[in-house]
Amino acid sequence: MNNLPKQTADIFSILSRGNFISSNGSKGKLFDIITYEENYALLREYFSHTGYTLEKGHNYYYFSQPEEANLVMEKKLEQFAYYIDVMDFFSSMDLKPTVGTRYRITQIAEECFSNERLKQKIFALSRREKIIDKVAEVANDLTLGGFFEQEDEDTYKVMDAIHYLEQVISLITIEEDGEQKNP
Amino acid sequence: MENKRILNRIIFINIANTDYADVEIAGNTCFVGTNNMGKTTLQRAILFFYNANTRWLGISQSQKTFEDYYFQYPNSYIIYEVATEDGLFHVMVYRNTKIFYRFVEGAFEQEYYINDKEALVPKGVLAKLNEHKINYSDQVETFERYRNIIYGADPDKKFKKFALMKGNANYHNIPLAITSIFLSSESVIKAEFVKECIANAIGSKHTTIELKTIERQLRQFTERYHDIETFFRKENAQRSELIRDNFTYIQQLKVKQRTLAAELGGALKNAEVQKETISVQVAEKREILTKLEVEFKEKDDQHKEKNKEVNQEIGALKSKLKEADKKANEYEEKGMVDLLREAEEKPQFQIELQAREHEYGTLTASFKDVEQQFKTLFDSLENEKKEFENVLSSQGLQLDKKHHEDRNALRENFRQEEVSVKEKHRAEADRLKQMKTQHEFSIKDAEFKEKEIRKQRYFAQEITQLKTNIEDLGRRKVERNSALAVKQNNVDTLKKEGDHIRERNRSTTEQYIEKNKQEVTGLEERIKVIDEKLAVHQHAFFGYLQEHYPDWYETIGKVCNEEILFNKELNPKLLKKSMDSLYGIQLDLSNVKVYSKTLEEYEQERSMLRDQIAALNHAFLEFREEQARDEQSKLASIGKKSAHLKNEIIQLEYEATQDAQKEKQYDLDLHEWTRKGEAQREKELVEVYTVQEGLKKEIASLVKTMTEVEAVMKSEITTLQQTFNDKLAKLDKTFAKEAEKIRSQKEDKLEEFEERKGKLQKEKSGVLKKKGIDDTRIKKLKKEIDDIRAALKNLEDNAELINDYRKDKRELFDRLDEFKSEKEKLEERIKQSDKEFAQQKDIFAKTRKQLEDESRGLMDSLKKFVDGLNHFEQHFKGKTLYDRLRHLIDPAPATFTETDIIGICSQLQANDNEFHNQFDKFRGNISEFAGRFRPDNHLNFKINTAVGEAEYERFASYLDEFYAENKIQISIAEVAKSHGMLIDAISSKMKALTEYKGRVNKMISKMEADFSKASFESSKLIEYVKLKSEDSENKVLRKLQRITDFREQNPFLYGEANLFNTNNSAKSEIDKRSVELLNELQKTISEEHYDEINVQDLFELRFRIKEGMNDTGWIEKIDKVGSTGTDMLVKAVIYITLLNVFIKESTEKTTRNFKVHCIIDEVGQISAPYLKELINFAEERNICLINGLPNESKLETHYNYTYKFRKDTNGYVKVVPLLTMTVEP
Repeated sequence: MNNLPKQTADIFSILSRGNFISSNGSKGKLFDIITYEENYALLREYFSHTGYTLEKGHNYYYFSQPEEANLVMEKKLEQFAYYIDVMDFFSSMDLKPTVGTRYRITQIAEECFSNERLKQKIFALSRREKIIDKVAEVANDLTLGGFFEQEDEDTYKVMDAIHYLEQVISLITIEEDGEQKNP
Repeated sequence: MENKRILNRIIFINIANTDYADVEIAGNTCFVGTNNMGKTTLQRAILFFYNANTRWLGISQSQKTFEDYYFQYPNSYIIYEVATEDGLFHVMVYRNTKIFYRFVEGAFEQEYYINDKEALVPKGVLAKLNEHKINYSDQVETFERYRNIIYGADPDKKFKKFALMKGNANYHNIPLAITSIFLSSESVIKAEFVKECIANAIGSKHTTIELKTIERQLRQFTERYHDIETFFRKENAQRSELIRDNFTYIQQLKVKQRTLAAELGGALKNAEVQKETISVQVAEKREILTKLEVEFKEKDDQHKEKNKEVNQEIGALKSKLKEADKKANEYEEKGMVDLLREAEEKPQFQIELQAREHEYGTLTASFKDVEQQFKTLFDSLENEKKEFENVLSSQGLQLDKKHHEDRNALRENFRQEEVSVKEKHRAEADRLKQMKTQHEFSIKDAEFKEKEIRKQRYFAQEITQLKTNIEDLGRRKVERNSALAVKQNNVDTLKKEGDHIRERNRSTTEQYIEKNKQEVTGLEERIKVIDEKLAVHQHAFFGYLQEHYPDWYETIGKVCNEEILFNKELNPKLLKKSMDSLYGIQLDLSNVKVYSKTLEEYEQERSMLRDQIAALNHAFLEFREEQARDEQSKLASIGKKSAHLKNEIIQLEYEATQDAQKEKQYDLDLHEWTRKGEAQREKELVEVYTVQEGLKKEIASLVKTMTEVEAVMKSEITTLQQTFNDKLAKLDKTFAKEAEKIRSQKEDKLEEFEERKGKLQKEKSGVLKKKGIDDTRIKKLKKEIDDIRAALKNLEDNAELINDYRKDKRELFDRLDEFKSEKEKLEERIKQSDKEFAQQKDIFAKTRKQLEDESRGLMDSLKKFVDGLNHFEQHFKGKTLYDRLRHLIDPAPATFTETDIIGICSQLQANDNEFHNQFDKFRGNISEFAGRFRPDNHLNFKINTAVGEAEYERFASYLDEFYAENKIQISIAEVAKSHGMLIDAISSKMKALTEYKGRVNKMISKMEADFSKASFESSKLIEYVKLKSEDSENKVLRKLQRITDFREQNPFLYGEANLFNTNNSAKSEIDKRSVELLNELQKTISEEHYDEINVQDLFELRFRIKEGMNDTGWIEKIDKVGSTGTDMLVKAVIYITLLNVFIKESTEKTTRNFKVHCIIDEVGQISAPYLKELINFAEERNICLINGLPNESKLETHYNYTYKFRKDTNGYVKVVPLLTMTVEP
């Protein structure tokens, strides 16, 4: 294990918190390091002893755990249901949440003011009083999840990890009786 | 008063709460007074004399400022009177918006400042001074200038006399030390403070490395480097290509959209026009068809009517024939043949009856005269014979007449029938002939039509249009090919031009580097020489002179060269100092130049040389940046042109592809139209041929029919002739038979008459012979008479039937042939009429079909246009796409288009869909591309999402331009320059800084030496105070040092014009390393939060104090040593030692003929013996103490001057001297 990159601890500390390492974020260097030559295989092997599996997405990395307690799973599902609504909200905007897109909180709030549908969606997502606070809360949630990154007070950037959300959402199939079912 | 320079007196005039105070302080001074009496105010004023810095007086921010507290009135003055070897001068400090100084020659005299117990304003004072002819200086407006004057560092000679000491430029430590002692007497003594003082002492102010600046530059560099690195990332390069491809495709889609929109506009207008035209044509066709149908219906009706009549006639004839047949059967059943024959014989029966009756009468009348009888019989017989002959003759005549009549009738009938047949056939022949002629005309028409068809150019409009299009394409192709060749040539030329510029710049750079390298090497050689000298100077003759022979520059320095001065083996020994001779020879060296240089001059020269190297490096970086910029600007221009040309080439190639497709399409269309045309021609020819064939067949058929008709006619005529001949023959035969019958009858009768005559003759002869009567004969006669009468009666009974028969015969039986012929004629007429009508029907059907076909064709076209217009109205006009394109659709002129409106609408919609799909990808790619850069990246890859779609296109255009002009080169050059400059700056600053290391060490050694003496000999309170230096622990400094080392190791390899060149792996490694070093430095700076790196950061200082039994060990700061008093004492000792060292350092080359004050407030906690020792300790170092005590005690007896502070009745503080004697130690 001598060939492990010196940033292994940093990588572990980020990923083990349930975060992502995206190529287009401030942790881009870490992404490059994981991607560099044999590092991915080395790290995957290395981390496997910790109970985490280093997974590779489209321009992002994350940890998965093969076995999780039902309670945790349930919590994650709940969280994901929320993310779906958040994605629905952002997808309803003029500016779609494609990788690299920069959102300004004020700009989103303005759009919410002028678009009743968006307004309703943001009201359903956050209980804060002001729309701007609601938007900020949602953006922060995505930032905590590693799907957004805050660049300055007002600006958030969409990370490569958003593909993870998109991918999972695309895997959801709707049965004929209208019930949603996760694969 | 001693013969030393010292601050002799301080005078307050209207200062703070003092109206006037005059305090002599030319020795150790003690101020006694309770709190808030003004001790500190006075001590601060004394401190202000030394440091002239209003912020370093220990005035807290909550208190009034120095200016406001001290100088409350325009006539507030602080006067510092300084004693010198030559007398006194004083410094007048006053405030006029800000604090000013004036140096006044002579001692302070109250009358200069106060008149009638009222202080004068500065103007008044000056007037007074002028009045007393006292010299005074110009107004000194800055503290710095004042300090320079006081510490003897001002270059202006007229101020030399006002100096307290003859210090050098590094005097700053003295006021700093005095201030620090005053301010930090109760706080810890930190190594940092000492280090700062050391730094000040060696005059390293200008060697400070401003980390904020470096950090800013590093950040800029790192950000820019990161931007460029991001730019060169493989996926970004790929994505940028994708974006540019997307953009090109989108542009093409837009062009196509515009073309389609214009086409749609043209097609719509054309459809409107065509709709009108075709509607009219359809209406016309319909009208014609309706008319034709009406006409045909009329003809049909006529034909039916005509046939109806004929059919009626035929029906009548048929009934007649049927009746005749029926009657003939009836007559036959009734034995009409016998009856007729009998009726024919009726006259004969009548004659026979008459004759038999006559004979019977005669026979029965008696036998009168036999002769007469016989004569009568003979006469009667003769008469009978004559009558019989007459009857026969009459019958013969009648028969002959009848024969002639019958013959004539027969001939007439024959003629009539012949005429009728001829007539009948002539009509048919004429009709056939007419039809034949008509058909011949039709054939001629068809032949003409065939010729027409052969000449006809089908779909001429389409084909002409296509040919025009193909020709246009061909012409455009030629033009385009030539344009392409020209543009390609231009691109090649531009490329060569670019290569040439690059090559030229490369060779210029190489030349420049070579030249620069040589110059730098030369300068470094010189630096090396200086370094060598400085390295050995302490052990050489130079060092000896510095140590033991002050002012040697003026003597030995003028006669010794550097070789001797830096020779280490001369073993110099001072024999007699005051003898100014060279080996016993006195020389006047006043006009001789000083040959040797001072250490500072060497250092200065070295710095100068380093500056020159730095300047050369800078110039090189500038040159390279300038060159890169110039190259980039030239290449950008070329790139721009080239990109423009390439765009045009791409456009042309795209057009070429489009045109090729179009040409192919047009060729296919042309082929299709030609094929359609030929097929149409073929079809029409086939139709014409069919018509011709039909006509020919019909003509042949007609000819045949005519021949047949003629043959039939001939046959009929022949038949008629034959019938006629037969009938005639029959008639003749009947006639002959009748005639023969009559003749035979006549002959029979005549024979009978002859026989009867003979009989009569015989009878006569018999009668005559016998004269008797014969009964048999009478009976026979009677029977014959009865038979005849029965026959006649039968005839009479059937007379009506015979008459009927005769009538029927006349009317029916004899006309049967006529009826049949008539029927046949009529049937033939019907047939003919049907045939004629069928032909008309056929023509009508054909015409109708043709009209319907034409109409259908027109309707199809109309439907196409109407459907197109409807589709446009219903499915296109309501869409936003139309709103976006209406400016192109609406004004387009009417044009014929290959594709119909629905097709164009579909194409437009498909194009729009494709555009949106592509645009989504395009936008996604741009977001992802721009998202990889910092929001405020210097490459300007930013998107203002609020602007909308246009922003993405602007971005793509900018990206295109960026690549075309190769703008990244400017950034690379800028980054390379800032990289080089950063490393150069860091390296040169670090060199400059580390050069002080030797002096620092020397300084520390001096301090160590001084501290070794800092012990109270008598009390042994302080056993020792030690000081030592260690290597710096400053992380930033280490990083800076690593960069400097790197710079040294790679003098000409680092920071090439392109930091991103991966062709040279060795250089790439060096670049990478240098960038890493800079990154690490930036990281460390931000982590460590240092603002700057100074000389003091070059080393670490450690103290060790042993006081009594307490040994602090090696510590960084002296916090608390023993009790409060001890602590204060120890610290005072350290400060005084430091002050002494600094004074020595600052006045190295001058004699120590001055004293300074060291102000330590609140010394009440120090015991009297220690205070005494402290005063002595200071005294030994030419330092006077000024201390404050809250209460009077015995301590004040140790001071030269003791003052008590108290307030007068007006509340003014008064400073009253208590003792003015010098306490003997």
